[in-house]
Amino acid sequence: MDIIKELVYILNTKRYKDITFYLDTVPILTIFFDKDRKIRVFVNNMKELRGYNIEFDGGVDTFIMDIDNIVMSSGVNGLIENSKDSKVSFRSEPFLYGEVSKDGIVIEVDDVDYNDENEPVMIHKKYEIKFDAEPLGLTVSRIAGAFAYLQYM
Amino acid sequence: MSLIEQLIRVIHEKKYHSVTFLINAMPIITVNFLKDGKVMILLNNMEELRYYEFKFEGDVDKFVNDIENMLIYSGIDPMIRKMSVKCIDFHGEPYLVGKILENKIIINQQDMMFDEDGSEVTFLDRKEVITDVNPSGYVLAQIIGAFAVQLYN
Repeated sequence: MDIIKELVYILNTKRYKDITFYLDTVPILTIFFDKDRKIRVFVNNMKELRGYNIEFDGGVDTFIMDIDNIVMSSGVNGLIENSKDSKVSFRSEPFLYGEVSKDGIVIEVDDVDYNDENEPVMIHKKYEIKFDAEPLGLTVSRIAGAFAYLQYM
Repeated sequence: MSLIEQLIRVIHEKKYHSVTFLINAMPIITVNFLKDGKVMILLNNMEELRYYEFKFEGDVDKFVNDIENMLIYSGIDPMIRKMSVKCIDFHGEPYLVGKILENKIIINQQDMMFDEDGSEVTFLDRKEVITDVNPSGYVLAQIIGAFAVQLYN
């Protein structure tokens, strides 16, 4: 199964309005999934902050390519690749936290379940996705693609 | 003379379309001055990247007030105060480099003139604005206001 399918399988029917990626504790990429498949992408390349508007109208693969182009051309990919000892992570609300490495993603989510008395119970779940090593920037774009898929498909 | 009046005298007019503020080499605000007084502001509050839009309609006091409110509510002003920031760097395009210190603002700009032979001569224009302020959202808002006045008026 590819990364997107696994992520969609894990997150299931959840909808996230935005996602932020971090290099250590510094936000480097925030994506807002707005109405009408309009997406705002903000980038911190450590020199300046940049904004891009794109649309989710050509399917997930096109979206991933768009994000990957932004990540590459804005300088964020260079940041990620050159900071070998740094950690790339991502967050979204309601509680979702993940860490990205060259060959895997660890993702933690809080889920509400119901006990025998039908009372809501918060469950903390942790998943690990393994795949063949690929550039971190591309993995970041794929994760964004999975979130877009959940939001719009 | 108020701080904004001093800044207006220093910042070259009709020149800067973008200015970025940095704390410890980390961009926290990028302001893009677009056509028709439209101002796009990108923020990094160290938790996520955000985006705001304003319109400069000639009333600089209102504009500065709006920007200051945004800097407070977005978490930038509290972050500056919490970190007890002693210096905020800023740069504009084309060449402008500035520093906000505890009691002064230093601005270096590059200017181009023509000599008697019609050859281009570039020189560095260094100005200091002495003022009794600490780096804060209010000071940033006034600097952004001064850039807007010099571009749009």
